[in-house]
Amino acid sequence: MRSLIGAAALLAVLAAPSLAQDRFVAIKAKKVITGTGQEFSPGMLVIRNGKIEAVGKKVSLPPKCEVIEAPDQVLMPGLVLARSRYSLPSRRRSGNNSHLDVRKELFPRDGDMEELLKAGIVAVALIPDGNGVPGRAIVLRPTDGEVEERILAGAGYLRITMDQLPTDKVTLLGAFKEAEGWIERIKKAREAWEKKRKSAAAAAAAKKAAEAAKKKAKEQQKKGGDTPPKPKPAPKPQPKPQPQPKPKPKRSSRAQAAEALGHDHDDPHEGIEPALAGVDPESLDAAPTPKRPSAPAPQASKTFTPPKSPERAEVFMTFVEKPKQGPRVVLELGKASDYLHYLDGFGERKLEPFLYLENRGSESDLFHVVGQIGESGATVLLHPRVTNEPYTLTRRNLPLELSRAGCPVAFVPTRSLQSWREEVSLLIRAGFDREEAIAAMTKRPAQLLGLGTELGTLEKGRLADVILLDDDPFAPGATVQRVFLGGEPVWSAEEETE
Amino acid sequence: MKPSHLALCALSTLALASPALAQRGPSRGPAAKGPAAKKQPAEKKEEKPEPPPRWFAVHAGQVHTVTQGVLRDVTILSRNGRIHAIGRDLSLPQGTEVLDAKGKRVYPGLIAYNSFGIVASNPEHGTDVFGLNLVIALSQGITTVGAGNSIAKLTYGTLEGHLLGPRPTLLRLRLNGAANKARLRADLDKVREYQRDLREHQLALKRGEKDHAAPKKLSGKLGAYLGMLQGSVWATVKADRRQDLNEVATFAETYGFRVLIEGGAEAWTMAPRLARVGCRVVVNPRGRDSAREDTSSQRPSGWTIENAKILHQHGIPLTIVTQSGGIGLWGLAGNDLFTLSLEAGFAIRGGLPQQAALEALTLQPARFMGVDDRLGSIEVGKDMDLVVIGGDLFRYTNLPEWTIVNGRIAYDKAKDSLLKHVRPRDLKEPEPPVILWPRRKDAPQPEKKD
Repeated sequence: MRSLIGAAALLAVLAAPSLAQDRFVAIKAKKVITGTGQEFSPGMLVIRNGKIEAVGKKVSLPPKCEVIEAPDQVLMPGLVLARSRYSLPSRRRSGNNSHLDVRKELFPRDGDMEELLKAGIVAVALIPDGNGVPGRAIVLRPTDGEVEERILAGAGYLRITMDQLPTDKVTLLGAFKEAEGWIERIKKAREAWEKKRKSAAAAAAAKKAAEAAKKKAKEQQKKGGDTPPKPKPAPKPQPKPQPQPKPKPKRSSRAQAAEALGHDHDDPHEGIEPALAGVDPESLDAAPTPKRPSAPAPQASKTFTPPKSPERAEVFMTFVEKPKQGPRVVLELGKASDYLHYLDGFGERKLEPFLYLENRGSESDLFHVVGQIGESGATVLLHPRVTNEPYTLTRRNLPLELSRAGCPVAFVPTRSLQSWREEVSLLIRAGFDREEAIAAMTKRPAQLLGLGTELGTLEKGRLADVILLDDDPFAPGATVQRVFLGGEPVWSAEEETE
Repeated sequence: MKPSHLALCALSTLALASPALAQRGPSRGPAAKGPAAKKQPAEKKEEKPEPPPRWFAVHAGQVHTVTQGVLRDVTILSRNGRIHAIGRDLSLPQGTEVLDAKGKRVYPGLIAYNSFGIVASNPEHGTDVFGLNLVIALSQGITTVGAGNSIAKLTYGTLEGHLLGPRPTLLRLRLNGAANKARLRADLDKVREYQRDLREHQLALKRGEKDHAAPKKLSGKLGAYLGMLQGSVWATVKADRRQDLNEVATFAETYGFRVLIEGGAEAWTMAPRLARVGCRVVVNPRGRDSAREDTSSQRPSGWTIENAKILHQHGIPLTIVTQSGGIGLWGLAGNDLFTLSLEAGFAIRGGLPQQAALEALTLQPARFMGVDDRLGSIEVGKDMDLVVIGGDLFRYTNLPEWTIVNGRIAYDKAKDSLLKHVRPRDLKEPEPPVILWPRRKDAPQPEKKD
């Protein structure tokens, strides 16, 4: 119940950050871990309108500030889970699905993110299942409400796997080949169009001499309404035309219908057709005005309309043409040679992927390529585990080796969400740096998801998504006591036990 | 209805079969040279400005070159994975990586003619170059494997130069059963007829008869057979029993094509004939299984350990393979690629000269796969693929110390976790054990220890 209220309050805060009066909340804790390498004990955090205002040992409180006392608890930034199939059913895809994400697999209900909150996770990236290019990961906050309300817009990544060879490599090679094919096709179409336009212009110039052309132009001017450059036939794509179709208002009514569907479901509109009612608003958003050329114009049109490439090719077309503008990529590697195969096939593509290393088993040979990964400087997402060299009992601390090789390291839990901190604590005991470990659960995954400026540390201006633990996060048995999203308490262990 | 149906079926099967055959059909060289293999480095040169050359040298005690006898105390120098020079007192360029194998023997890297599970079926896109099986194969001195339709080198830890090229196509003939044989005969007759017509047509053109109709080009299966009869494609047959081998020989004699026999357990019984036919044999010196006694016909197996020797004596090119092309770490040891050199050791036991046995693991398979311009012997210009071993390659107690692929150390026994402990490199020769049995009268009696 309280989490519901919390979520509602959070939404209110998010929706209208600049209320007339700023809302201040302060949390006083036994220890504050900022995630930037600082620790204050005791320490306090001041939150203003859901965002962090100040953090320190002692901060002067603004007037009318609500103070949350946690004298025996430890405050730290909420954990960020950069790779998960939490609550999603198995739905494997193969091939290139770069245009898809998991939105359609989500069936949100209140309280379904309880486990995440309990583990102190404040953002979770849900990945599409499968191999090849299964699609994009989206990032949710563990609140209640509809999917769209939970999504952190702009965050996420494109998931590409390279752990089932040769299939995955062939898939990816095919995706690039397809994209290059489309680029070539569009280029050729453009050239053809330019050629056509030039010849048309030449013909028009020749015609200008003849008066007949002028007459025609006059006739068209007399017609008035439609301007000659845009001769559009009555909208064809509509499956069920209304009894009295008026071409021009019809189109606008459709756009309005889209708007209505996109923003306000309750607004009754005469123009909504039954076929449209079930369409999801996203696809309609793109539909209304710019999507015209269903009927190919016989003459050279004024504007160039490229041949429509399939959605799945578009991401890879970006990678080919403007690699820096493509989405973030997480490349999943199972074995050391997968990385070599990646370099072999795509090393010059400038994808600059983040890497996810599947060192979840007891053995891993990924230590073979630590040097090469270190040279690339890629952020590496992996399991906080010490693994054996294959077929031996020789222990390899892959996270530590990567960290020493110069890679920023981020962690994902191997088994349950609840044992995540425990796993990391074992790794710290095996020599991994504690501060690095905290960053690997907060700052780094946030950066990996594109939320580097919003989440991950207790710094001014960031979202006040923080957690309170009853002990040091890496102490045995330490549990999350309270979770705040945007400065509002959304979960508390006390309530759970009640 | 029925005949038309049949015709349709036939058509569709042809249509289905033809692309596959067409792939096999085209005239690749008769396994003499590997054009595809040659292309690769040329392409690489075009792509990038050359990085500084990679020099690698081995100071060797004995070099078994295969083609040029045994050289003693020489240095083999390679540049970018190709042998650059062989000789004494070579001046090594700066930055040369040197492997000191003085007192050790060096052989060319072994070639496993057939393999599975060592590299991926699509090596370029799938091989795990850190894989266990690959390492085990390297530990036995294998540097190149034939895998499916490709030839791959066991480049540990790198994909550079991993795929050597496609394997030359072999046309597999099925000669089991009268129906198969009759069909093959009919097909080959058709191809012959076509050849005759074509010749006639050419002669007619020469005579100036411009209207002479050209025979219809052969495609699909017949096109492939045409390549075979023209000598650009080798046929291959799995045959162990004398009866089957006779059939093969008869076909090859009648139609004049070249054939590679896989198996050939009883080939020794008709070695002169097979030699006349000019066939090659891929043989397993311990191939008892393949010609197993047939209990239904009370027919004894015709296998003998001297098979390889007899075939060699008749001048038949041999490649020695193991019973299994994989590596199995279970069951009975000693019949997979883990013991490739031991397999040749069995042939030697049957009388095959050592040199021939070495060729059967190096130069001959390279020839069979059409890559003998790059592999198979230690010569300037060939690939720097070597096995460095403490003693004789064919003695079962000797394990390769280093295996070198493309001028890189791909395997080092001292660093390998699997075989490091087996007769470690720096271990001094232990005292010979006291032989207690069989006791001979003149043998020294073991001293009693108090």
